[in-house]
Amino acid sequence: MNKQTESKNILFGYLASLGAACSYGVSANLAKSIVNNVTEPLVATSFALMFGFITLALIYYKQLVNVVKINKKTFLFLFLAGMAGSTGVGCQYYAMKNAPVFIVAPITGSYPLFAMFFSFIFLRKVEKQNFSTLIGAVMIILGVTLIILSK
Amino acid sequence: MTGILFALIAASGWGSSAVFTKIALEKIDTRLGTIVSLFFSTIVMFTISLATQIDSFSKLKMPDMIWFFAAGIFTFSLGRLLNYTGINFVGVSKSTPLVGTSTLFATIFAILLLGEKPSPLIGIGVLLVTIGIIFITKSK
Repeated sequence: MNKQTESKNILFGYLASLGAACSYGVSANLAKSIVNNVTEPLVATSFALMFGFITLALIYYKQLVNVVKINKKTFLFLFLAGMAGSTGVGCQYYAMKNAPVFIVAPITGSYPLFAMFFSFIFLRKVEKQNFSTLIGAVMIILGVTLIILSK
Repeated sequence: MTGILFALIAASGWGSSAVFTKIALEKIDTRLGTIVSLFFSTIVMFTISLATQIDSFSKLKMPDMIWFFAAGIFTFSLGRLLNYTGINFVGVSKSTPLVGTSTLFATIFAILLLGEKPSPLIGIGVLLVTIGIIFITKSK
């Protein structure tokens, strides 16, 4: 891969990550309305997941034929990713029920540090960690915690 | 103590999910990976919610589905697809903290669209998040 393509890919990755954050930001406001006016978080998440899955499957239906080519290991990791993510959502809900927000928010907000720790252990050969990224992650966690606590 | 324990499990769950995703996406297209992961998440989440909150299902009305559809589009179709794309292109260590800025965007939207009032503490939080983003995007 030449340097120009690599730079474009990195920029695309950053924009996608910030785009995801923006999208999650919209959904947080939607979730607030749903939990206050419609139903329980777990029930809402189940239906939202179903609609999210159906929509993407319809848009990228041509990709679905490749499901048969996915090997068992990849399936296992996708399953684990889904399980771990869903467990996170469920546990956050129970954490909020059992402890005040000012305790739960900083802990759940620190998940990028957990991701970096797991990445350091399991993806050492694929990903390089550096001090600058760690400082950036800590700054973001502190900033996000302040924003949550100000509400 | 129970709350703290659940919060720690939540944080480690999301953290490990990003790593599992990175490993899985080495072999397949991001779009397909997102669809398959959403399929598994849907099964798991429906199982948990049916087991623990079956009464809530009977109270649902048809118009509620519009809310769930909107949440599904922003959280999972768009959010998870972009999240996985970020992990695939820049890696877990750089992508995850950037995705973690979603609270900042949620606050901006709440101020702009719902008329919530910003406080000085939010200003400091925004400043810290911005500096954090600069640190991550400038790191080699």
